[in-house]
Amino acid sequence: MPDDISAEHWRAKANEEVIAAQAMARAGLWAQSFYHAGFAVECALKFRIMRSEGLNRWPDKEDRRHLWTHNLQHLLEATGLQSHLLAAHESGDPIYRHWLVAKDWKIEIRYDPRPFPPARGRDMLGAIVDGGLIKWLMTR
Amino acid sequence: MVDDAVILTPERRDAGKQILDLTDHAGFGATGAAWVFDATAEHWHYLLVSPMIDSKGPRWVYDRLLMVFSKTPLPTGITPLDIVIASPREAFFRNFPLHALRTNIGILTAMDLRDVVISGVRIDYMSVYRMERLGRDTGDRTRRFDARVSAMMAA
Repeated sequence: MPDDISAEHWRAKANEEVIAAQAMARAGLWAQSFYHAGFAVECALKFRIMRSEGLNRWPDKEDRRHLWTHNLQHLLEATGLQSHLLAAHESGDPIYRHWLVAKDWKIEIRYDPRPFPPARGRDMLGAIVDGGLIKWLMTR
Repeated sequence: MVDDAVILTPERRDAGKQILDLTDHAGFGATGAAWVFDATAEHWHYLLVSPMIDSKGPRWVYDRLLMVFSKTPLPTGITPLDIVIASPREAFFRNFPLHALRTNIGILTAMDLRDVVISGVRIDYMSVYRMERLGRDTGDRTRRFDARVSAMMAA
């Protein structure tokens, strides 16, 4: 990862990954769509971490090793948005369900050569785009 | 490497058993269940393995699990955010060393694994309640879960 990576880099990357996920879905390539959709969530969370902490560069691995992860739930905890999601659950805000759908993404999917279940790809894309999860993570 | 002091507390172990029992009662029928600890993030999650995540999709599964939890609450301090649902089709579960649960190789007790790598995935600490090979009853499992959740909500 470059030393000078900025919050804006993560925001732009998140938006690009959403476009890639949509394009892959249109082509019926659900594994690739799922991969890009999950990576979009990861980038949105990393944008959120940098923006909320006022960081001008991504932290060094030696300093904050737990941020050097693809695990969406671990990144969510670093954003401080977990309490907002639990409040959303209490109020019936559907964003909570969209997060549940997205959170179990694993980057290892990119290595799996077997056919990918379309239902998982459709649900993921529905959560992050139609459900507004990416927008919520970056603007909440 | 995980700190040797990190172990499952009796409270967390009991909570894991309660979650498995209540999901079994609802017909979810997880093929795998475990507490998993990530040492870097110092984070626990409760793992449920189910083929329904592939056949029906996560929205269908979580919608029903939330209905179940509304009728039979999760143990105190545990929320759905602490639960991860995984597919048995993942290499990690296809290659899970079920023999280790029986032969005491690389394990602390009959159920706990520490510092193991399975299919390239590193596990710092994992306390396994159940891990089974996937059978051919996915359709039955799905219909049973759907029917029992509907009955719970109607009651």
